[in-house]
Amino acid sequence: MIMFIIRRIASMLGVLFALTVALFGLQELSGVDPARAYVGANASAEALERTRVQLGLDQPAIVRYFDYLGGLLHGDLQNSLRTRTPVAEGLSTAFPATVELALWSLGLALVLGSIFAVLTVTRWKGAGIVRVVLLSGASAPTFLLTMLGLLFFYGQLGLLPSGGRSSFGSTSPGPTGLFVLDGLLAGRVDVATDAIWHLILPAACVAISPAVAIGRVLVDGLRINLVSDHARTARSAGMPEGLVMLRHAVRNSLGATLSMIGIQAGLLLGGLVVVEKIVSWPGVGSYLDKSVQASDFPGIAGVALLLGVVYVVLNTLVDLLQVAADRRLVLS
Amino acid sequence: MTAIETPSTARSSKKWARMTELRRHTTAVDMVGLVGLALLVLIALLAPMLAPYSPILRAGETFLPPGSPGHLLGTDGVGYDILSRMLFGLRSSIASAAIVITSGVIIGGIVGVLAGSLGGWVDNGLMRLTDLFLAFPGIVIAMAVAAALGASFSSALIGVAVVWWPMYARLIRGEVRSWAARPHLEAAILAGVPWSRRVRRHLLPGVTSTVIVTASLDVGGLVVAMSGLSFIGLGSPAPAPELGSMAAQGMEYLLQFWWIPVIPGLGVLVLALLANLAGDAVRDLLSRR
Repeated sequence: MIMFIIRRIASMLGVLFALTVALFGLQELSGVDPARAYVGANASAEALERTRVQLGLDQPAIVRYFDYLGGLLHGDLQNSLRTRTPVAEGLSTAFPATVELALWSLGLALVLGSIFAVLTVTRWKGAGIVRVVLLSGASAPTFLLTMLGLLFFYGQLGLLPSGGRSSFGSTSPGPTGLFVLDGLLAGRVDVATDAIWHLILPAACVAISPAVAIGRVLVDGLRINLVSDHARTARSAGMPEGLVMLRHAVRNSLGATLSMIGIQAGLLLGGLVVVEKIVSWPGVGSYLDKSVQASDFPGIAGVALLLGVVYVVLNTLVDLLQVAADRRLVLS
Repeated sequence: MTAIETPSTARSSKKWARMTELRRHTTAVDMVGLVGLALLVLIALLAPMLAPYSPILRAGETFLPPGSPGHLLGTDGVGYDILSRMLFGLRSSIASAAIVITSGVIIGGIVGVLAGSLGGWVDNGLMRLTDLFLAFPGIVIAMAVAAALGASFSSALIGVAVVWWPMYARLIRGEVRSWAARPHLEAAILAGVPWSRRVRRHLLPGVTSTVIVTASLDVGGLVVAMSGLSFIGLGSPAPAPELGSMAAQGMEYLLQFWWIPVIPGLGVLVLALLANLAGDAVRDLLSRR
């Protein structure tokens, strides 16, 4: 078990190392000159050259790569060409917003996916309609869902806000940077509910397609396990159907569902970027959007690195959790 | 004469029997998907002839609603005819999905067949590489690659293609391995059949149907993913008609002139939905055999 954990973490570090190599390579390919970010577009050729030497940009690629890697390890993600300030600064202010939206989206995806699965497996009458709605929702691009949601809930009903994160300014009243949690911690219920109103639409739009994927895996698992021999034995020993479902079907379906959640977390990142752009959510996605508009590759690479690290670490955790749930997996 | 005719009629009647059998197993939903997708592909092919206006020249007044005379789907904030842009956008969506899937199948096929049939260190090395790519968050890497190459149609294609092949490599390698372990392939090796012939005659035909099924189930997701890239500005630059960027540019008019951003989004939805239905149909037809 310990060996497995060590090996899994070593391979995670390998993947992260490869990610930095890839991003460095792409930056070389993009022809961006990081010295520009320091001196600005109007600087003289001499000043540019001086900065280049100062930053070590006259060194061969391999030396510059290790400079870059060293910088990353100290939290230096280079300077943005757009704002001419460190990318790390911009991202650290944007990150909590994205974390909050991502957590809500993932939570909603789990809830919707489980409801979808349970309705399908228990053959509830309306399940057909739910299925059609969710499946067509999953075929729709996130930007369409968000636009339709805005048109209906903001434009028509005036129920939800048009965008942004909070009506109470951009700083969270607490330490975590998550408005709902901080609002509750600070005893500001109004801030927390307001934040939830802002979260509902973007989180639901991001959640639909992962919800369907997670629900489908869960359905397959439940179906197989409900008709399995051990479930039949439990039933014939007099175990109530609800307990059979919980102990034998749900529990045995969790492994596959967990790994689907890991995969979907990666796809969810793409949805987040698009939704943040539409509802002007002040997160990493909006930062990426602005960087793309300004052809600011250091900014884009910073976002890719941040999201990449989150994804890789998350998937390692999922793997470890799976093994914790089912030790037989260590062998394979 | 009869001696020549008999086998051919026999073959055609057999073919006919299979066709009717396939038709019996095709549900109405399958037909909607297959016919609908075929229609969209036809429309995309004929887009230059069908489009009433140029997609990148002003065609009339701005903000005309759908149903206006001469502009079936209305016009946008510049005065472009939305129907014409939709037709060309559809064309570029379908073309990019086709290109990415073809490149994915070719690259993944080469890697998968080499790894699966040669085994040993080749297999090990190639699969390590594949797993490395699979460990990255695909869409994020696609964005980074597309951005590094500068926003354009081909950058977006390359970006997505870079992350799309590993799945096929994994799949094809697995299939090839399972075929290679069968007795008739061991017999072929013992009989001295060369590697290239074994791959061509025995391994590739075994892989084809799985690959076709996976590829056809992939189209819908791919169309949606690429429209997302185009939406955040990682596709063809400004006036080019792409469904994602049309929606993005129309965003500012969402509340007054909803059709400008919503219609392109609906276009993506219809294309993806039909592609998903057609994919399901292809899977059902091929897995029945």
